[in-house]
Order: sequence, then C-alpha cells, then structure tokens
Amino acid sequence: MGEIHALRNMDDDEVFAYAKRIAAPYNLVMQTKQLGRLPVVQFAAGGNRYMVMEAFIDTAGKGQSDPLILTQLNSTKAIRDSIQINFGECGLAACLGSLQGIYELYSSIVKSELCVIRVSREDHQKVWAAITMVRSIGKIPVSFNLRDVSGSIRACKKAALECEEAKFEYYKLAAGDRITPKFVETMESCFNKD
Amino acid sequence: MALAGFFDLSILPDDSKSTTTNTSIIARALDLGYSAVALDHPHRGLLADSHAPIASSLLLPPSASLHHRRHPFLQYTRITLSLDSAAACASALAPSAARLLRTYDIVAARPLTQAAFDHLCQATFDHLDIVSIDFSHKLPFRLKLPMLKLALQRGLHLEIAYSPLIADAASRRQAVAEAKLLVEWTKGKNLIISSAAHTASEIRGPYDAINLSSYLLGLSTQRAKAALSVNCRFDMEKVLETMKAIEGLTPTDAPK
Repeated sequence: MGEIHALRNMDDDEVFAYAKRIAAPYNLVMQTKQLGRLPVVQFAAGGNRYMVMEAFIDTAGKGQSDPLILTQLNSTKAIRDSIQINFGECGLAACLGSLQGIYELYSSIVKSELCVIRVSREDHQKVWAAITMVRSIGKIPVSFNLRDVSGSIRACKKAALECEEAKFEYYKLAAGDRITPKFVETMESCFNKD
Repeated sequence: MALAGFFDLSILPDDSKSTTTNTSIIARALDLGYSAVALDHPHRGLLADSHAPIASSLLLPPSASLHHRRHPFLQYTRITLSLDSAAACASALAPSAARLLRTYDIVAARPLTQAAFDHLCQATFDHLDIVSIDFSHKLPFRLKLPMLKLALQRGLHLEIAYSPLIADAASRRQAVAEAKLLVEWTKGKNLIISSAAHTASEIRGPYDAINLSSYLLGLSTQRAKAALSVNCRFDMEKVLETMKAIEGLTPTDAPK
C-alpha cells in the first residue's frame, strides 16, 4: 500500500522507470496511479448488495391533492424509520454506515417508481425485511417489492432497466391509442441510451 | 407437469364492497408474480347451503396478458371455518358436511380454543387441508408439541399469515412471538405462508415474504420458499387435472 502511495507522487517519467523496474505494463501502472488502488473488479463476496426495489403507491384516499413523488430523500427516510421501529437504535446504527439510496438517471416519463438501495452484505436481509414492512410514506400507503438483488452496481442497473421497460409496456397497454409513435420512439431511445 | 410458481392461499375479498377493490387485490398479486391465489371466506358456525361459493372468479385486468406465463393465473375458492370447541369441529367437518365442503377448493380450519386445536390435530378429517392459526392477537390456547407432531404426521399443513407482521406494532409482536414457536417445533415443515390480505397494499411479493419469514421467524430460506410454493401444491393435486384441461385456454377464462 505504501508503494501505491509513493506511485501517486511520482512524475510520469518516474512512473515509466518504475514500471520497467517491476516489470509491469506501463498502462496498468498508470491506471493504478490514477485510481489510487489496484485496478481489479470488485468481487461480490466482499462487500455490498444492491437491491432494486419497486414501489407501489396506493392512491386510495379521497381528496388526495398531493400525489406522492418518490424521491431519494423520502424513500431512504421511510426505510431508516422502518429499521429503527423494527430493529431499534442499534439495529439502525449498525447498518447506517453502508446504507445508501442510489438513483440512476432513468428518464421517468413513465411514472416508474424504482429505487436502488445499497447495503452491506451482512445487513441486507435485515434492511430488506424492514423495507418489506414499510406501509406508508407520510400519509400515503406505499409498499415495496424487490425486483433484484446483486453484488454489483452494473447488474442492478441491468435489472432496473428491464423493470423500466416492462413498466413501459404496461403504460402502452393502458394508454392505448393515445400515445403517438413519436412518444414511443423517444422512450425507446432513452432505454437504448442507458 | 411441474407447476413452478408461488401461491398466495389467503386473500380476503370483501364481498360487501364493490368489485373494484377485489379486482385490485388480484391485479396486485398478478403483478407481484404469484401464479395462483385462493379467495378465502372466513366462516363461523354451521355451514348452510346458502354459503356455497359463488362460482365466478374475478376478472383479470388486461395487464394479465403481459405476464408471459406457461400456465394461466388461477383463482381458487377457500373456506376457513372458525371452530371454538371439539363439538364444533366434529360437526363442521363431519362427513355430512362433506357435500358443502367439496364445493370449495380448499378447506381450512381455525381453532379458537385449546380443545378445538387438540381435536383438529388428533382426529382425522378427510376434507381438511389446512389448520390456520390467527397470530395477530394473543393466542387463547397453547401450541403443544405432541399435538403438532400428530398433525404433521397426518399431513396437515399449518398456515402462518404474514399480514400481522406488516401491520401495527402490537400484532407484529404477538405474531413473531407465537409464530416463531410454531416454526421451531415444526422445524419449518408442512408450513404454508399466505398474506391474509384485505387490500392490495397488504400483499407483498413472494421473495419479500420469503425473506420476511426467514429473517423474522427463523425459517430457513429454502423452507420458506417451499411454504410459498411446493407446500401449497399439495392441496392442488385434485385440481391439477383441471389445469391440464384448461391448458389451451386464454388467461382470462375462469377455471372450471
């Protein structure tokens, strides 16, 4: 680790000489210098679980003027509150370090309520159970459904994309003739871009 | 014919309200990935002819066609008899009641007293499929290990509903305390997990229910998964022929 530290302070010429000395490919050494760590793929055994959750918002109430918009803020708050209610202060504190709501930018023209939660592997069952027990955000009844859990952010991006595409199919079915071909094109290009 | 899939064997439709709430429950179950549900009619007292199930199953929403399934989504009818004494058990489940009981796909019994529970475990009833215990309130009787063993030997399935685990704090406490005991003593065998949901917001996806039961009740994930799929299949053997018959039909056709 000390060597990587030293590497970061070297000039480019020195890096070249160093690479020759340790008989390593120059580009790998440069990558290491830039990343600040060895350029290896993060393995699933180590670290985190990424859960792709779909939220069902039950607009049951009469006179609900404010439809709930699921934001990173209110969903992670609801999850943290659920962990605290069900598993106590220490239960929450133990996973707070690794708990993070991550949002990828999927153009939500289709009102798809997806969120991605990162949590450490040892706590993921507990957090998952707490998420299942969430009944409402504020006054509005909400329930969550897990779509996928994986060890890398790449795999969960894929799952989230599939979920969005499926929801788009629903939307098309429900909207029927009202959507124009242009709209369909716009959505499909969004999917392909991501 | 292997039916892979998840079952929710206890949905409580409200017959007095409009059908939109009931359709929304079915729609939610479909969206969440269940292959079949059972619409439960809780009943207390003697069965009369007027209590026969209404044959129509609820219409599926148009989104049903989007789910690419090998088998159509099925809706079973179920009755849960609340029994408060040994005599009630004997009369409700007697052969004379068999004709009415047979009109339902699944027959469940809910004991309310110690005597009823013991009797259900000990005596043999042909038409009984499930023994369902309501964990949302403090149990008025004790679960006894020898009784449970008898029930398991005779192939009865014991049902745990997960809606108390999602409801308020008091029911959660009761449910976890008592259901954990049941899980320990049965070693997770012959269990059925179902939602006992009145509304669409009380149903959870199959994997969510599996994780919840596994983490809170100490059930192994494998057994929990079986409790939502394979164990429910046992009761369905008598309707497997029905499914073979409807194999060629579209999903919106009612079974039978």
